[in-house]
Formats: sequence, C-alpha cells, structure tokens
Amino acid sequence: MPARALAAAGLAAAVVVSAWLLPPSVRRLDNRAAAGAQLTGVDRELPAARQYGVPSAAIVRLASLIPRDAVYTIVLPGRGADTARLAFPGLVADYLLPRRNAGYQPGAQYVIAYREPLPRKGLSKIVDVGDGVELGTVGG
Amino acid sequence: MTDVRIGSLDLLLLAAGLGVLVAAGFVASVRDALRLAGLAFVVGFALVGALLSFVLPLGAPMSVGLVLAAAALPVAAAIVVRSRSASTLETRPATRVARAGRIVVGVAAVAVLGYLAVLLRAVHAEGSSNAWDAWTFWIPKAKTIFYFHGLDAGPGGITSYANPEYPPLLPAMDASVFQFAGRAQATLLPVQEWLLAAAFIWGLAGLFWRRVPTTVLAVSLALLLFMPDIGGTVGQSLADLPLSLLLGTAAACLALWLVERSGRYLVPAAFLLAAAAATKKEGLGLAVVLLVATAVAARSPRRSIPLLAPAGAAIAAVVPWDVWLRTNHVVTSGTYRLADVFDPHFLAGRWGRLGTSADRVPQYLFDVGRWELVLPLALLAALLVVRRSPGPALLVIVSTVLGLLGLIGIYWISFLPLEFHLDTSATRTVMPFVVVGGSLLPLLLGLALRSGRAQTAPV
Repeated sequence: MPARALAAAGLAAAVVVSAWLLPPSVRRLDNRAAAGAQLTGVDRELPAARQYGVPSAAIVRLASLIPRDAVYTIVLPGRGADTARLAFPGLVADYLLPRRNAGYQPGAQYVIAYREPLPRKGLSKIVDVGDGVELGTVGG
Repeated sequence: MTDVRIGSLDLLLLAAGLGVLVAAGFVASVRDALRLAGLAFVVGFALVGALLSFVLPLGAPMSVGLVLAAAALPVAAAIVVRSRSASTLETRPATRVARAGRIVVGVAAVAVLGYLAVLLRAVHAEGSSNAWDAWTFWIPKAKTIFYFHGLDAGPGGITSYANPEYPPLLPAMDASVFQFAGRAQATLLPVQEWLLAAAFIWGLAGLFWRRVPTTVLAVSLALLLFMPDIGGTVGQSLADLPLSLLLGTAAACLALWLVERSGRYLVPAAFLLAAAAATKKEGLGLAVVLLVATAVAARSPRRSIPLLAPAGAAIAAVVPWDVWLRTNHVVTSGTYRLADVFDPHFLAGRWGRLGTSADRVPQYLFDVGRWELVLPLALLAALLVVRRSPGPALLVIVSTVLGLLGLIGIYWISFLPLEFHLDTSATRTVMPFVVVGGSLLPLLLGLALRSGRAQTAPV
C-alpha cells in the first residue's frame, strides 16, 4: 500500500474512533455542567467537600470564628481511614487561608478537632462548631 | 467587575506573547497578529510564568505591578526590535481548498468551536476543581503566594503543602489571577485553563497555517482537542495539562525550526520550555527530552548548537527555585531518586517492577479510550515521511521513545508501591508525550498525505 494511502487509512480510522468517542465525551461534559449548576456558594468553592462527605458548613463557620491572622492546628481521630477523615485537613487548610496551619509545629492559637473530642487541658474555650467539628482556643 | 480585571490579565498575557512574536519577526501585520493570537497567549503565559518563577524565589513580592512588569518586558523589547528591523517570517500563499475540502474544514471548525463551547460551559458551571491534588496543594499554594505576597516558607506557607519541591509557575500564575481579581477565589481558575487550552489549539492552527493543507490542519486539530482526557482535564487546576500544552507548543516550534531552519522559532520555544521546566518537577526533564529529540532530528551536532539557547533558558528558569528550596531547608517529598538509575544493586532488587512498568506504561500511552488514535497516527505519519522529511518525523519518534523509556525507568526506581503509583499518576504522566505527538500531527499528516508531485518539494 503506498504511503499516502496508508496515511489516509490511518486518518480515516482515527476520525472514526474520534467520532465514536465524541458523543460520550460531550455527554460527560454536559453532566459536569448540569452537576455544577446544582452547586451554590461554598459548594462551588469547595466541591471536594461534598464529594468526600466533609461538612463544608462547619469549615465556613471555622472561617468566621478564627481570625485571619491566626495560627491553628488540626486534631484527627487516630483510627479510621475513611475519605472524609483523610480529606478534612486538606480542605480546611485550603479554605481557611490566610489563617496558617501550624501542622506539627508549635505555636498554634487554635485547635480544630474533627470526630474527636478536644482535650480540655491547655484550652481556654471550646466551641462546638457542629457536624463533629470542635474549635478550641489555646491559653488559660 | 472581576471579569473585567481577569480579562485585563488575559490581555496582558496576550500582549506579552505578541511582544515576543513581534520581536522574533513573526508578526508584521494585524492579520499576522490575529492568526498568531493563540500562540501569543500561550507564549505570554509561558513568559510571565517563567519570569514570576524566576523572581519570586529571589524575594520579589507578588503584586499586580510585578505581573505588569513581567509582561511589559517583552512588549518593550518588541518596540525596540520592531523599530530596527521589519523583517518577518516568509509565508507561502495559502493553497486553494477544493469544495469537498471546504466542507471538511467547515465541519471540523464547527465541531471544534462547538466542543470548546460545551467545555467552557462545563468548567464555568463546576466552579473550583475537585481533583485531589488541586485542593490539597496546587490551589492552596497559589493562595499562599497571594495572601503572603510571595513565597513563604513559614507555617501554612507554600512549603507546608504536598510536593513542596514542585516549581512555582502554576501557583504563581493562579496567584496572578487572584491578584487581578482582588481575592483568592478558586472558581476563577478553570475558565483560565480553558482559555489556555483554546489558545493552544488556535496557536497550532496559526503556526501551521501556511505549511499544512487547511483540511488536514482542521481535522488534525479536531482530533487533538477531542481526546477525552483533554476535555476531562481542562478546569481541574492540575499542572499536567498546562505542562503538556507548553511542551506541545514548544514541539511545534522546534519542528518548524527543523523544517525551516529559522532561528526565530527558537525564541518562543525557549520561553515555552523555560515555563515547562518551572511547571512541574519533571518539567525540566521533559524539556531536555524534547531538546535531545530535536538534536537527534537535526542530524548534525553543529546544526544543533542553537538548541543550547532554549536549553539554557529551561535550566535558568529553575535555578532560583532550587536555590530557594536549599536556602529554606525544604524537605522534599521525592518519590524517586535519579541517582538510583546508576545503582545496579538497587535496580536488580526491583527487577519485577521493570517488567510490570514496561507492560503497563505503553497501555496508558496508547489507551484509545483516553487518547483515541492521535499518537499512533502521528507515529504512523512520522514513519511514512521519515526518509523525505526526517526532521519532524524523528522529533516525534525519538521524543515518544525517550518518553516511554523515561517513564518506565521512573516507575522502576520509584519508592512508591508500583500499582498505586501507576494507578494514581500514569494517566497524567503520559499526557505530555501524547500532546507532543498530537501537536506535530498536522505537520506530519500534511507531509504524509502530499501527492507524489508535491512530495519532491523541500520541507
């Protein structure tokens, strides 16, 4: 088969495959658009919270309780590897910026606990944020 | 109001890219500027991104002024160079397109525009990305640059997120969006990514406009855009897509340099490769792969000497970042150590990984469900034209082979469990090679489909 015919045959095959796969591709995009249209407010900013079952409303409340220049840390239950537990710290660290996540370093002014009661020692105030989230103020 | 501000950033990127193209002699008229506007936007993104990645580690504070200054440099250069020389790229008259060809072009153009519209609707509606890597490190890193006015190695700063060693181009460019918007709103980012993808397609059309028959060009670009994993990745705020688009555009410029031997193609290529190097940890390696493939395709060490300029740009782009990481004692989260390639004991101890990698990586690279037949078609066309037009043909063949071997090697020496590493990354790590092959598809297919008479024409 001459080179030109081979190239033409290859192109034809590629066009057929593309035409075959295009409708499902477009449908997926349509589904993304339709799903996105259902989202409002914080769900558009934190769609992963919904996806992983993390309480986005609690994260928004945390943002209203912790000053923007504060440093905080997150306490999680020692057991369990469900996706909500895995996703919670990342979503909080993203949404709460410019508040700084101290991680394992000292200096946190606030402690956030998820599905884990906060230890009373060393905390001056504890707020039940809801959805299994507690916020403690360090001091006192 | 936010849209107007973001629009002004996009116009700034366009102006910066046009500045580069004018200075390099690509643009002599408004018509040229329109034809190359897509390329200009991608080059402007690359240029501003590479400059930000260079100056932020040096301590420059992030601001709208910094972005303006980064964009103003090439515009000033364009004004100076343009006043000295008005030479522009030689362009051939466009060939007449037969009636059937016009129909094909029309259908492909409508399909491309329609698909871009559907894609835009989806990314706009979705809001912020829900991809794990996006919200665990790419987007927060951008927010830290915005909120802390630059690179901050303190608690909660850019280094406190996953993969702290990844260079800062994408976070810096996303932070530019936040700077212009006046707030760190991640829902603004997907449309910017869509714009880059659309500009990429337009850019290839502009680059190949005079060299590739219009029908072949239109169909090839439609095939490239319709690859399911391109549409599926636009708006995800991950670095893999921008990296692939930068490398794909650079590959197109390098292929035209091989064909036309005009050094001006190396100007945008240098900025694109510098930006690629500053986008992901593997970006520099990928830029080197592309340049080595181009040098092989040039088939002469002496003729390859000009490639040292883009190579130098790519290396220079990441030097300040590397120094900044060392200065701030950043602990990297490397999943592999390149030096292990030279450790026979280490390699022998994980011999089984090599077989699995060699089996699985090609499956990802040629996965029809993700990439259709774009790369196989580019390779077929390259094999068909390699004797009469070895430059672009060897570029795609060598870069694909090097990429394949490189990826297999990385998965061989990686510290992560192989199945986990492949499952979580291989669909993304193969993307640059598919996009590079796809970017050269119009040129290669145009050469392969030439009539016998035209085959004797120099390319």
